[in-house]
Amino acid sequence: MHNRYFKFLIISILSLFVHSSLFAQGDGVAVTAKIKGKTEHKPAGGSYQSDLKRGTLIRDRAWVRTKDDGYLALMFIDDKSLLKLRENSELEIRADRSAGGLNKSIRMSFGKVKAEISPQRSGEFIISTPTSVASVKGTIFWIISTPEGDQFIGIEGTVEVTNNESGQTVTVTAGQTATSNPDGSIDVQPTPEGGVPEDPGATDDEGNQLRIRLENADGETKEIIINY
Amino acid sequence: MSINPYFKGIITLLVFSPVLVLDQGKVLHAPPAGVEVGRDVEIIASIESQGEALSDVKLLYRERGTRSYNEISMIESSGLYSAIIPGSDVSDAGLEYLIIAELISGGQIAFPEIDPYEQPIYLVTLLEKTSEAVEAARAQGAVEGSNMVILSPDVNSRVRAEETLIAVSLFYTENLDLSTVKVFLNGIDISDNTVISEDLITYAPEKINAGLKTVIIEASDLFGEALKPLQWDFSVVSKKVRTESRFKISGKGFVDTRSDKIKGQTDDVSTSRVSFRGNYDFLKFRGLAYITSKEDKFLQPKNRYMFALNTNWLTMNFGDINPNITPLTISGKRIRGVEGNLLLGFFNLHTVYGELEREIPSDINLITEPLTVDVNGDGEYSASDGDEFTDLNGDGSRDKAGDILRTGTFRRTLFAIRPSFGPSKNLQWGLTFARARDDSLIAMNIEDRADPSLLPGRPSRFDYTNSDGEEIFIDIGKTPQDNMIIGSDLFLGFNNRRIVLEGEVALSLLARDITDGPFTKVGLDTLLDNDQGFGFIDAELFTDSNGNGVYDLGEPFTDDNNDNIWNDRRRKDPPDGQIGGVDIPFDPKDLEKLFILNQSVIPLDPSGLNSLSYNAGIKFSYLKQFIRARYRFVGAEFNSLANPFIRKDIKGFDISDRIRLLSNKMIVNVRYERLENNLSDDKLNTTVTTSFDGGLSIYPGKDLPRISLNIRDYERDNSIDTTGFNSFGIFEDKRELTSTITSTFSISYDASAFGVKHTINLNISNSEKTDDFEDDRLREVFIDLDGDGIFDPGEETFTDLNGDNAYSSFVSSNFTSTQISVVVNTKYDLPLKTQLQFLQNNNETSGQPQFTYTVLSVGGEYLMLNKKLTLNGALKRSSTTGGIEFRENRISVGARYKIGKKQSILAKADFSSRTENATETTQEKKFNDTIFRARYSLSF
Repeated sequence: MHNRYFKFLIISILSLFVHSSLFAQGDGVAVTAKIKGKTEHKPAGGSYQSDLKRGTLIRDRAWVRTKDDGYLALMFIDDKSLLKLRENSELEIRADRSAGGLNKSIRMSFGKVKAEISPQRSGEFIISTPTSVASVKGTIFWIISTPEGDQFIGIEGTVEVTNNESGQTVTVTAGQTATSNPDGSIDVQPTPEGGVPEDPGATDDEGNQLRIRLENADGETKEIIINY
Repeated sequence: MSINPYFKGIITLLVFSPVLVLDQGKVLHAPPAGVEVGRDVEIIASIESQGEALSDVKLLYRERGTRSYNEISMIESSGLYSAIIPGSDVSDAGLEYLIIAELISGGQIAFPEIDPYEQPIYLVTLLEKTSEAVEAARAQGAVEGSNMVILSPDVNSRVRAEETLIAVSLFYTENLDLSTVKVFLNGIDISDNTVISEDLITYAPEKINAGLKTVIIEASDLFGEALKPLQWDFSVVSKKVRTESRFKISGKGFVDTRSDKIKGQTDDVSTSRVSFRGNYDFLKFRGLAYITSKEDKFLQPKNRYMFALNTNWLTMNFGDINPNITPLTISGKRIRGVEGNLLLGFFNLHTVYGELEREIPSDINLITEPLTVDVNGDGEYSASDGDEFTDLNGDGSRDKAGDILRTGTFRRTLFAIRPSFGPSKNLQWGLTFARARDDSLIAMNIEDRADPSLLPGRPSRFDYTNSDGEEIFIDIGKTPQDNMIIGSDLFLGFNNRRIVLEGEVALSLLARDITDGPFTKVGLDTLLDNDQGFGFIDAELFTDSNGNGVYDLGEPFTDDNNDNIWNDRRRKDPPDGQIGGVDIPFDPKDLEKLFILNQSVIPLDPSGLNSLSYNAGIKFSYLKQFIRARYRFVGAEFNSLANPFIRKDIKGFDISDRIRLLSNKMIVNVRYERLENNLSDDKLNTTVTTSFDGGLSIYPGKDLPRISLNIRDYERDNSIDTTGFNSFGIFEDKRELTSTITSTFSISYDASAFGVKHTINLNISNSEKTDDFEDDRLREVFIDLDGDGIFDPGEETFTDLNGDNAYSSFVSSNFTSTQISVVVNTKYDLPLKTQLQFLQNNNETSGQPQFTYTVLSVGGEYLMLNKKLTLNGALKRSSTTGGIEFRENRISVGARYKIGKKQSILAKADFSSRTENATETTQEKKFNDTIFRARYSLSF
């Protein structure tokens, strides 16, 4: 009799555990700020769905990916750090809450991602790929990750990049590109001209401009630009 | 011959000094417990004024370590006075405040009673529960109070219509009641189309027109307190040219009425308040109107009106404002007028003009006892003539004036201007001119006075003709004044303001009586030209009828200069416009608009720098420390009528450090200050005051108690260690060597018990003042044979135990004040909150009965009907012993009902029974008081 009760209890506890694991939602950590083309979202324990819209809350341990024409900008809700995913990119967002903010750790499977990372109060912002790990405190850089290796292109600030195979670490600054390969090699070179990917979400045209050119008697010119 | 009518009319001269009259009443007040950094603090007090009417009750507060007090009028409601210190002024440095109740007769009652301005109440402030989170939120530009962070769009940014996303992070918020969140876009409520979750507020419009947009987010916390709204602007752009402007406005208001019956006196009061804010394109505005039926033209204004316009480069405020020009000119005092602040970067201009105090006529209780038999027919009452009069009040004497009903105030206006140069962030140099002047010209006596014989005059001077045809002149003692301050200040910031150097210097002039206007050049010559050799001549002669050698009223004289006054001497040297043979370079009358220069000016000779004031300080903010060191000098004759709380005649320094440790979970405060007076060396001795403060605040983390501990040692030493007799044979003991040690302990703990959450606040404070000479003084006794309180050598004896050959008429200044308060707030799983409060305050002054004030209360609040209806109730028992003694039991019940989303009505009733113990002069009194109140609130 007691044995039956014990089994019932164990089954009930396990059921509750499984149930809570299946349906528990992680904390909200980011929001989709911009979205274009086809994108997909997979909450923790779920499957990919095309349910992303502007303003969707992304929770801890969720995956997102972009298709051929896709573009997605994610903004973290603690410090406004941005991850901009160009086409054919995929990553998982992990962020643990602390009083001072989120401890963020991004697992990137592949693709092109621009990271605009605000100064971090809670540790470092970590982005890992199958080949490398990047640790930043606050900076802007691109990551291009493919099965053949990674590129870390510095735009502002510095990025510490470690090769998973060799454990070798390099520092990438603005105007430099680190190349990290599955064979353990890692190298830093000046970023070649045209080597910085285009950011389709950059706010390059946010309105109209009125330009008034003034010329004095000496032929010197000045231009007044009014944005509206 | 004519006799100056003033001589004939003067019957009395009443001089009144507004000092703290502690024996006329008490301020009953329990300092609040569990005060948190950044949170509003409500101060509530009741005033026992022994039946005397109050003209105003003010709360003066400041951050600990600062000089100037901010001033707020406490609002009376249901017999209690309350004011709210805004959370933005509550820092981890702690809060100091005092309460001043001004009696209609000009006296004051203060809390604390002893040295309130120098030793105000100190409130330790507990670190916020989420201090690290709050700091992180602030780093993201979160709005103070709610900690909401704007994610998108950025403030004043431009976004494309199809990319517009309004997103606000709630990551750092705590206790936010999501059901109260309201989102307004250009004044339109879009809450229903907004996604509001625990972490985020988002609004992603399918379609939005181009143009300037303003977002306002309003919310309340779980305790029903409205949080500071979050508001920002952005522009939506499209390829089309934006042509439209937007006008947006939102606000709230209420109408409140109550009927009180307190101590048998009924009092019906109605108040209404409306506040609004909004913008028209780039121009932001806000306004406030508060109107109460308590407004009385014979009191300082209680109504409040304010309207403000604001752009990035210009701020204009109108109405009741609290401008801050510089600490030495005006800082925090309310004025009614206009303020403009032009911010152009390199050049800025800050100006203020308005009324510091409005004119209130003084008043006396006129008693005219008609002369019935004028024996010698001279029209004047004279007992020696055998005149008879009707003794109306039966006091055996002829009265012509009674008590002062109101001392009155002059209309006092302030004009201040401060041009400054340099962007305020790192460099600014300012020049200040301020003038505060009483208007002595338009004052009138009480216009509705029944006696038509009253004549226009100064508000504190009565000129009238009584029923005997006698001209009465009564001077209450106040005089109109004029004050001018010129100064300069400098601010230098380095390394993102981590190092700050700042200082200010100011020089003041005060004319204590401008009744007769400025000097003429002749008058100046007459006053100051005291060259030897000119001398005086007798010009006016009088007939010394009674041979007493002095001129008596009524004796005939030769009025040589026709001034109606008999002058005993006149200058030989006629005024020649020269002082010491040198031409006077200016005529004071020409400067009248700037400053009224006359013989009442202090200082008469500014070169002595007695009216100079300056201070200089340096601040360091490095390595989690905030170090501040300052030196200040305030001359004995420095006066600022717009900033009356400046302590004069002191110099000295203070140095403090605030250290943040363990990721801001611990804050250590230390401060030392040394000040001394007698800067002009015109006092017999110099008093040195020193104070040391040490404090520790700990917030170990969630679910652990927050603790704050503070101790202060304040000492005064005037260096006198001997006693003696003055020229009248009265013993004098001016020795002062006192120490006041104040310790405060505060703990706040969130605990769960019996399945419900409690927040427990415990506050214990003790203040003890000891007189180092007390033992010495106590040992001496004398036998006062004639009971005159004075030792009469030769007749009376005393025991001279300390061998100083002097009697110490000892009055101890020892004082002990202890206070304990416990507040338990409980939140149940039901929509129910309760509060249990116990407070006891003991004050013990040598030679006086111990005064104890005890409060015990329990109350609760219950939500029902889908949170539309809130029911609340409370039981409170308060009592005092010693001095003023009473017991009061009060029961309060109330309800608030929300009508839709923007309206609510509230009804409340209080019933109390109060018993006042019998005293030597009064019998026991019992009162059954009732208070009924209703309020309608609206937001738009």
